[in-house]
Amino acid sequence: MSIVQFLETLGGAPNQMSAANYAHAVEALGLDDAARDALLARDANAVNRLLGGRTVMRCMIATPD
Amino acid sequence: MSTTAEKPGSLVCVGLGMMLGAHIGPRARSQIEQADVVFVAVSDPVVELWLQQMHPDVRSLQPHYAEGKPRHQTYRDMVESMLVEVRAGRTVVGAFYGHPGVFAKAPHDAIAQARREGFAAHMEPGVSAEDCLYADLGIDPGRLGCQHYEASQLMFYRRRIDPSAYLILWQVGIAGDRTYRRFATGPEYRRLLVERLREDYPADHPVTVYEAATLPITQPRMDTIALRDLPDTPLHMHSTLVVPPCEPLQRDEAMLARIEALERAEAAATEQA
Repeated sequence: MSIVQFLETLGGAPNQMSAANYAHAVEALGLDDAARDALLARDANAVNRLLGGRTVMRCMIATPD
Repeated sequence: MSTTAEKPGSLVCVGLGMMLGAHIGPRARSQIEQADVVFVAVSDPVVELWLQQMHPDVRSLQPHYAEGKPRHQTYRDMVESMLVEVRAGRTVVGAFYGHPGVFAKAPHDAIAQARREGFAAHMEPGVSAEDCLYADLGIDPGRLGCQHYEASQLMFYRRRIDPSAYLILWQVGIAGDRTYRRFATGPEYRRLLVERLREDYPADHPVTVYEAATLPITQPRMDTIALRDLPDTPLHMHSTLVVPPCEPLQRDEAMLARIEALERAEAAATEQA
């Protein structure tokens, strides 16, 4: 399971992964140290860096007039 | 939904919700999976990567933003990139974070333009930042009422704020920007916003800076500060300001008296019948 798939699973079924077994689930992914540490720290920026996502995101899609 | 278009090519703008994997609905997912091409505008880069795993042809709308480029032009370019594919006869999906029709100009414009050109086009709603805000902050907009304004619009135009209802200001991080070419405004602009709000609220009124969580490993931002401290509080493009009521509901005695008169008349009519 990839990191993104892991996040999708977590987002869709948070009750199936309590705080107690979150670390165990992350370990079970078999990721390298950097990816594992980023997930364990719940560090969204680090996760994005490791996945190669954009460094700048703009999100405004409305104007005042 | 338009179902009478004769031309091939169609456009659906769908909402992905705010949090990766948490909010996407079956209709939005189905539209994405069955599309020929998917355009995406989201606030979190990992969410963009998630969408790329759902479909082989996902095209980000991010490159349309640029420093110094007017956002009106950015949104026109977003619309045009989607319409080019619709005109080519393709089944096009525009996937937007949150709800594609809430504080979102490009999706509305794209659907309207597609329909003007005779193509089928519709919107699939999503879980918006507003929805997350109500859940995270425990606000029921029906209890005391809730006004929503784009922050700059509140500054540019005379609006009537009801201080007995909630006030929610969107895009507060660029409050006061008339150039439409920036992605942030500074403390001086926010001081003017605070000045405007001080017409209706005390300086120490608690307000909350809210940012919905976009990944299941993160938490929403819910920072409550005094209104006077807003100018020096760090804000982002996706920050929303929640201003709770500072006054109790005011009874409209005149209207209540008229309603009572109606009730009496109805009761009298019932007795006579």
